[in-house]
Amino acid sequence: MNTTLFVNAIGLLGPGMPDWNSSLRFLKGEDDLSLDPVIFPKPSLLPPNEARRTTRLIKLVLNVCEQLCSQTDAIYLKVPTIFSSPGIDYDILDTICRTLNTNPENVSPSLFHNSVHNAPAGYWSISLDSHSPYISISASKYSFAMGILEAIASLENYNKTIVLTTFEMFTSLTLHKIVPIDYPFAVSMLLSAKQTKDSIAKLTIQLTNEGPESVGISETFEILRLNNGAARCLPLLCSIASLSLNTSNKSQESISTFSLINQYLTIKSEVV
Amino acid sequence: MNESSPLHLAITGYTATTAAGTGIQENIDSLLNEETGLSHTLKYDKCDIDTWIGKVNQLDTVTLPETHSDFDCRNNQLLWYAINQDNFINKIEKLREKYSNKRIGVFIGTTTSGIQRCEQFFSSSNGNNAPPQDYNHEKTTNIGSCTDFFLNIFGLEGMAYSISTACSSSAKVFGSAHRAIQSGLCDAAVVGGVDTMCLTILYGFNSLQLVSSDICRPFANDRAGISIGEAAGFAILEPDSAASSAPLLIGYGESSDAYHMSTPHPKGKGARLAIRDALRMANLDHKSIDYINLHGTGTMQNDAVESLACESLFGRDVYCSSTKGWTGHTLGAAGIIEAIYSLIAIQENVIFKNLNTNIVDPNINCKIATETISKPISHVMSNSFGFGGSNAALIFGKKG
Repeated sequence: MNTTLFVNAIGLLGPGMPDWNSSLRFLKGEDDLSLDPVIFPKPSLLPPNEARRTTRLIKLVLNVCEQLCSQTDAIYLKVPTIFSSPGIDYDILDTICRTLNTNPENVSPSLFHNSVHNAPAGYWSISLDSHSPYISISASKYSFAMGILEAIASLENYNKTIVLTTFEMFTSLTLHKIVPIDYPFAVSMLLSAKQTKDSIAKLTIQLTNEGPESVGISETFEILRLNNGAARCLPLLCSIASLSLNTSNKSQESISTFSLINQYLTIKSEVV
Repeated sequence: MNESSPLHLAITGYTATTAAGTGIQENIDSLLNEETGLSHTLKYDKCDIDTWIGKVNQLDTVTLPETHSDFDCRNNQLLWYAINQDNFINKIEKLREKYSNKRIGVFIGTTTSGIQRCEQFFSSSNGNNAPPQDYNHEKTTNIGSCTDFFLNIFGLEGMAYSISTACSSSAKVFGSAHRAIQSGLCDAAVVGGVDTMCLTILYGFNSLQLVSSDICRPFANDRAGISIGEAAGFAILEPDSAASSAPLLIGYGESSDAYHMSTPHPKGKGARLAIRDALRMANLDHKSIDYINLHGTGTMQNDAVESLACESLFGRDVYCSSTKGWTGHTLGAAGIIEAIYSLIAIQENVIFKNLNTNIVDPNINCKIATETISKPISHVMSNSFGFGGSNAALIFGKKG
């Protein structure tokens, strides 16, 4: 397989990284990243009574999708969207399990319907008033890489543009004993099969037997990459960042490699 | 869009285990004998809800092989139990020999996965104690678990993921397989779905007042909600060939309601889009559909909205029914089970009765089948609509 696609907009929210533009200097290695706590912004496109019901995870995902709206017209976002996450809404899981243990008749109905893995996706479709289909997938640590494959399959078959959003929530209290995730992380990318006026990178993607997978550009990035399953995409973000115009060390191309099951996904990022 | 006509995929093998039967033949027998698999319960686990459920009773004694003990949870026990029916393990092994293990896609739907393990952990000390040594959250509770387990059993290494979009999960797996094969990312695929009884679902749906204390009666005048069920089903998809007489996936459509997390769009807008797109891909007029297997959960809203959508596209031209009267609402497995029931309809040339419903709601205007009907069946549509407004419609066709 040898496929080309284009990145047209990126939304990013992670520790010390409140959005794509603010994070470029860290992703390029110009400044050291500090894994500062994430602030979960209130959703700006939902009606207030819906926004009130959103959990931290839903806010995390909606925020990176909303960031795309400032980089392109919302109409271009009303396209099939892939939501890929290794995990689930751990806040809700904790609350529901406690409630089941103590007073199960009082499980909150809105908490329950927000517990579905596709809750962030559902809220995003409501935010945009978009009838385009979405898919919510999970493939443990391969979730981002499988999301890229799904994006390729969708773009080759039926669509000109697609949004790929990868995210993972952190765990607190009890669940941290079972799933030790210390940082939340989410990224959203508007991808197209052909170059557009908004394109910021050209990606050439291959399946190979040649590893190893790429690691973080610094110890801090590597901690994050291994701690949060969605942050496995960091090498690609660093590759794309390295292409940007604001540095004399701008590279023309940069390669990042991701593990699949006994094979690898290699992505060459190039300037457009 | 691929400008040539979409690829037809042959469904060369399938298996299903539900409350209505273990393996295909038992499910066929229940369907043709009009015998529900649902049973009344006043207590499931520690839950005192007065309701009807579709339980796979044999699961209480199923154990996983020692080599897979990391994956142990009710959901994976049902997956294991299901694939041991209908010679399915052998079929997958032959598939692996034919295509190689990196070229087979795997797409499995689930909503609650192995959540019972997490419920149990909290119930022991409200989660204050150390977790049990053998509780592997990633391999049991997380959504990717069932797909990971399936890959592990067969040594498959291709494109694979779990889908979790509530009740449309294991219908959307067909779309994923179609896209993956058509784009060349894999040469064949296994699709499936599995969901099992848990307290979260029982109390959760109860909190939304969607659970009926009566058996579910889809489209009935006196319908009062869902009966929760558990099930697992799997199907093998390969490019059609001249030599094959297997039924075909000839179209699918997917859409979003963009309305509300747990209430469908009141005019069925998303449902209509999904159905319309499936018909377009299949290049079929609505009259070519011989039977529609409806989502038909038995809730006031779903059934009203779904019938609006179907009536607008099919009028009273096409027989339709829900088969949830046999299995209950199996959530993440509903898509695959009802797809397999659609294939059974083609195989047996039968339209299933809309079981448990004595009087159809007079406001329901699509043509609900009130009895089992034998007639030649060439094309069947199956609908699945989930929380979060996720909709999928599939169309299957008899070969030739």
